[in-house]
This record gives sequence, C-alpha cells and structure tokens, in this order.
Amino acid sequence: MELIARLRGWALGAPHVFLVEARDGTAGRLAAERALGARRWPLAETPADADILLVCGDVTDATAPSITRLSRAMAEPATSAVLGSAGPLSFDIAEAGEAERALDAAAALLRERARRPSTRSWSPAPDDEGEDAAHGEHEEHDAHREHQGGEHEHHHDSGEHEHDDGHEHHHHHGNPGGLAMAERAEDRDGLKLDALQIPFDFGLRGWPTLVRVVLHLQGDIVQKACAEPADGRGRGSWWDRPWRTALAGERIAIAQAERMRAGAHLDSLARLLDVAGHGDAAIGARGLRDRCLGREDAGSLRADLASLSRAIRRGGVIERATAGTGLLTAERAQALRVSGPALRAAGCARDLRAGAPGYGDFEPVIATGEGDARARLLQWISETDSALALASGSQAPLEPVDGRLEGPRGVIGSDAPPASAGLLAAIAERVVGQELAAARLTIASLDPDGNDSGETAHRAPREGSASDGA
Amino acid sequence: MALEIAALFAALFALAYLAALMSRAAQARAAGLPLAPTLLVEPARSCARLLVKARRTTPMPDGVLWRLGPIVVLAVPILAATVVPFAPGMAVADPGIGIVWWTAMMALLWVGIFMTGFCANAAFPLIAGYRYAALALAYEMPLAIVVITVGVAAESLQVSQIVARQEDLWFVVVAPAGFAIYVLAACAMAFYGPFAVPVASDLAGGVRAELGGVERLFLVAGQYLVLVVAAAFAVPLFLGGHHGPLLPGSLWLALKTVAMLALLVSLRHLLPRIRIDRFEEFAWIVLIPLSLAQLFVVCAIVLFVW
Repeated sequence: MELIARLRGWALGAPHVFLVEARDGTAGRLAAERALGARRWPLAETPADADILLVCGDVTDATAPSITRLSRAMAEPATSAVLGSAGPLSFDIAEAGEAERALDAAAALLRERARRPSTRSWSPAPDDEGEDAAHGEHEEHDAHREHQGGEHEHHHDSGEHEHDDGHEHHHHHGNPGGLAMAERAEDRDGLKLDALQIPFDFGLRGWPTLVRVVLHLQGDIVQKACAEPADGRGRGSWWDRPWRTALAGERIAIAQAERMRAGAHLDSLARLLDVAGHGDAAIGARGLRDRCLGREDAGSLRADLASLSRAIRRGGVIERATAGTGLLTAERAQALRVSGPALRAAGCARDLRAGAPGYGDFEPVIATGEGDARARLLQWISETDSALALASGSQAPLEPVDGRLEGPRGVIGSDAPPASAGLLAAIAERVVGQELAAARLTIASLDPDGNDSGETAHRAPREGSASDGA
Repeated sequence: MALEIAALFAALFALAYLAALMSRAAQARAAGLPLAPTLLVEPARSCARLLVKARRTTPMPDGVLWRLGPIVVLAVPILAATVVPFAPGMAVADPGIGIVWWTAMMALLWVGIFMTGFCANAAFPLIAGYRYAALALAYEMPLAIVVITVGVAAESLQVSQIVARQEDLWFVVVAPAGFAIYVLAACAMAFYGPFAVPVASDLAGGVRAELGGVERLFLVAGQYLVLVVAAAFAVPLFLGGHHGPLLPGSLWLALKTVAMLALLVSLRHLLPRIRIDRFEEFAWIVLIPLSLAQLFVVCAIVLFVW
C-alpha cells in the first residue's frame, strides 16, 4: 500500500499547470512561466489535463464564475494556487503567494491528494452551471444537415446564454438531461442552423489577456461577435508602465522603455505562435522575452531574434496559414481608432517615435503593410528588432509629444482612448464571417490587453455579405 | 505464435517509448534546457500520471462510442503491425495481401478519431473531428497510390516478397517521390507534428479537450503507436527491410526503423502545424498527380527495364 501511494505521488511529481491571467496578473504570469520552465512542468492545453490551476492576478466578482468553472473542469487529483488575491474564489486554494512558493505549496498538496485514491468519480454538475463555459462543452451542433429537422439531440445550457433575439426558449423536443435545446437561426445562405453562443475568456492557451469574446456561431462560422475586457475597466496594461510613468513626469530612459516594448511584442508573438501551432517557437519567444526584460546585451538578443524569426518562417507554413486572414485595412483601422503595430501593419506609417526627441532619425518600421495576420506577425518581429536596436542606444529620457507616447499596442495618453479598445473593436468587426481557426488567428494577431481598456463592449452585427472570410 | 506476438508488443512499446524520449529531448533543446537523465523516466511518469487521474465526462455524451474511440485508436496500430516484420523474415502474419491489410487497418483510425470528436457532445472535439475528416481526405489518396506503387514494383502484395525483391536495390531509389509522400502521410496518419490537426492547440487539444485519465492515455499512446507502426512499415516498403551490406539483418532493421522514427519526430520540431483548409488544395492538386506520375514511372520501369 505504501509503495502504491508513493508511486501515485511520484506520478504527479511533474504536474501539468493551467495558467490563468486575471486582473493585473501579467507580472505574476511572467514569473510563473519562468518558474514552470525551469522546473520543466508542462503547461496544460486544457483544464481537463491540468493538475494545478494557477491563477495570476486578482480575482474579482466579474471573473470568479469563469475561474470556478475551470477549477471544476479539472479531474482529480488537482489543486489550485493563486498569485495575487483570491477575491471571491471559494474553492480550495494552496496559499496565495509568489510563484515559487505557490507552486511548491500546490505541488505538496497535490502529492498528498494523489497518494489517497479518490473515491468519487468526476462528473459535470449541470444544475449549478458547472460546465466549463470557456470550453463550450455543453453544445453539439450538426451544421449543414440540420435544416432537415434531424433526429439529433442538442444540449444547451440556457443558464449560460442570453437570448436577446426574442425567440421562444423551449422547443417541442423537451429538455433532455435538464438542458434546453439549441436555438435555430437563419444564416447567410438562408439555412436554419443551430445558433450557439460561446464565450471565450479564460479556458484557452494563447488567449489575449483578460479579454472576453462572445462568438455567435453557426456551424463553425462566426455570425456575430462581441469583444470586451473580461473584468471591466482595467488599471492599465503592465507593459505600458514605462510610458505611463513617463507621462506622470518621471524620468524613464528610452533604452529601458524599448526593452519593455520588445518584451511586449515577444509576449504577443508567443501567444500567436501557440495558436498557430508552433509550440517550440513559442517557447523560444517566451525565453527571449524574459531575457529582453533583463539586463542582457541587446546585440546578442537581436541575433537570437533573427534565428527565432528564421525558425518561425521555416517552410512558409505559418505565413501561409496567416496570409489573408483577419484583413484590417488602414482606413478601417483609423476609423476604429487603432494605432501602434496593428495600424503600421496595415500600411499606415504613423509612429509617434518618428521625430520625437531622443529618438534621433527613427523611421516608422513597416514589414509588409498588407494588414492581414501575417503582416502583423512580421510587424511584431520587425518592431522588436528595431526596439532592441534602440535599446542599445543612448540613455536619453522619454519625452511626451503633445502629452502622448507610442506604447507597445498603440498611442498612450491621458486624452487618447485606450489602445486596446480599438483592437477589441477591430476584433468584433473582423471575425464576423470567419471560421473558428481564422477567428482565433485574427484575435491572436491583434492581441488586445484587457487590463488596458475602458468598459465599452464592442459588438458587430452580422453583415449581409460575407466579409474577408478565412 | 504467442512468442511472435509478445515480441511484436515489446518492439512496439519500446519504439513508442523511444519516440516519446526523442520528442522530449527535442523540446528540452528548444527550451534551451540541458538534457537531464531524469528525462528517461518522463514518458513513464506521464503514463502513470494519466492512470492516477480520474476519468472525465461531459453532459450527455454518446457514451459507448465516445469511450470506444480512444480504444480503437490504441488497438488499430497493433492490428496493422501484425504484418510488419519485427525481425529478419519474421512477422506475426504474412498474408498474401499484406500491404492491403495494413492500409485497411490504418484507415480504421478515421473511425476512432472521428468518434472521439463527434460523440463527446462538446464544441472543440466536434470541430476537431471534422477537421480530421478533412486531413484524412488529404492524405489517404496519395498514400494509397504510393502503396500500390510499391506493390507494382515488387509485383506482389505480400510484405515478405516486397522485402525479398529489395535485396539488390531499395525501392526508395526507384520511387523517391513515393517515399517523400509516404513520410508526409505517415505524419498525417499519426496526426503528429505538422499534421496535429485533430489535437490542435487552438482548440484546447481538439479531440483530447474533454478526455481525462485512462482514455487520454489511450489516445496519446495510440498516437505514438500509429507513428511507430507507420515508421516501421516504411522499412519493408522503401528501405529494403533487413537487407544491407556488412551489418547483420536485425541490426539493419533496427537502425532503419529508428532512423525513420527520428525523421518523423524531427518533423514535429521543425515545422509548425498546418492549416488543413489551406493544405487540402496542395494535397489534391500537387500530391495526387505527383503520386500518379511516380506510379507510371515505376510501371514503365517494371515493364521495360526489369
């Protein structure tokens, strides 16, 4: 018996960790990723495969339900840990604290749980909204055969979905398993398909920080999208700190700010690579990001960035996957108040750093300017390279131009709208008509930060004609 | 018979373990970490972990078929491996239609993976299941034509005859495009590396998204077994079986299988995952005509040269 218990404890010695970034959790997440990489604990791709749910940041009433659902989706034995404040979370938490301490405590608790075989088997809890909304595990849809009025049952948790289209809620098929049936709605071809509303916030690897996108899907084509910050009005992105501090009057060296910019772009790049399926390159990008945020010489960082870029572009696979996806033209970008790399990737050479004091003869970098996800990917790589080039330059201070500065995601200023607000609006508009893979690539290539926007939700109604498509 | 089956099982699981080790070593290198000796027990630890974890379910899945899917994925490569020689001249079975049996068994994979996706009553496994159907359409035609090409070159469908025919010249020399297509199809069969479409990272693991415990282990182990069987079958098809100069046959067999396995594992760490809707066009417009052209060349060689 003791041998079995010890084997069970050993089996969970390298637990899979599912990272969730809540409000103001970026610094914690970076520390957690570094700690996990050093321990060689893999990052789980889904809570079903996770042993530890690691929540980085402060949990509030807005995000607690989603995070609680994620914790229920994990199979025994499993524990959770919080880096930050647990807020209204009610499940078992192994001590809020710094990354290393939290991981050690969670691992110890996990080993204890593992040694005793659990007597209850896992089951979903349908009556208390226990399903994992971020995984959308409660619906099943049969896209193009359904207009025949098929025999298949549809399972749909009415508690999770807001029906604002005025249809009746209960079909004549009844409620199998206590779950309501899926609604039907007209799609663009006049077929009646199952309309499903799936909220995406915390359950996915490579999802932008603290962003909630509710997709109205028919089949796997997006008919309507609503993008908003997951936790209301944020306190500003962690990546924007040097520029916000400079605007407040402190002296921040350009070199330091540019290293932060390089780190921010590499962080976004790592998320896009995770979504696009280049896991090894994503690991490389995260490692390079951590080194950018350190004190290493920028010259060697640029060399490593060049080899990372070669690895990303090898075989042309990523480029072919992202070419033509999520096209955001310069006109639409300007109309949506998008600035920063997303605007420059659309071909509009606007950069507040050009001509700013301390930047010398800086010219705005435009990689390809086509405005699709591929252009944004290449734009991030080029801008990281130019940022690292500036980082080894002079120690001149950042000086605002008309009270504004160019941050990693766009213009930062007290009178300017949050840069991520424009990106959220762009997401809501551009994913309509795309299928799910393209939608995820579009969202990852725009990469807003939910800490950095106002409360306005951005929705785009379904347009009559198909938009840019996949 | 029982001894041969036991030897086959031992070979399959040893090779699958080796493939898992190679993949972890490549991942450690990508992360810039040193190769610690503890890596050697990591695949065993992962298996033990999945055995300890509880099984999961979703609200009202299609119970029997959903549980059956991973079992099919685990059982099918073992069935297909019965015709693959694991020692010079020794296989569990050597029917006259050996390569047809192998292709048919591997085609049963489609059923297993699609069931795992479709019957889960969840969005991500369902979408991943349909994407896998697209992948299967992409790779199966070129693969079938390439396997027929090898049968034509050997003038037989029996695996032992195909190996015997390669005593002087390996078929990879006669049909290099066929070998290249086979390598791609082997990865696609095992939904591994660039073709990890049904287990995609953008769908929270695709068909694996809602699996836990033993079923997840079946799927992961089944995936590695498919990879191993596909790699092992390339040896009698293209690489001359146990034939080769100087070294004994069994050593050649082992070397060739491990080399083929290393090639497939390295594809995962070299190339990112493809987008299947973009790859489908390439498969049908480039790979099928290429495999047909290869078939005609081999037919010409057989008729006029040999």
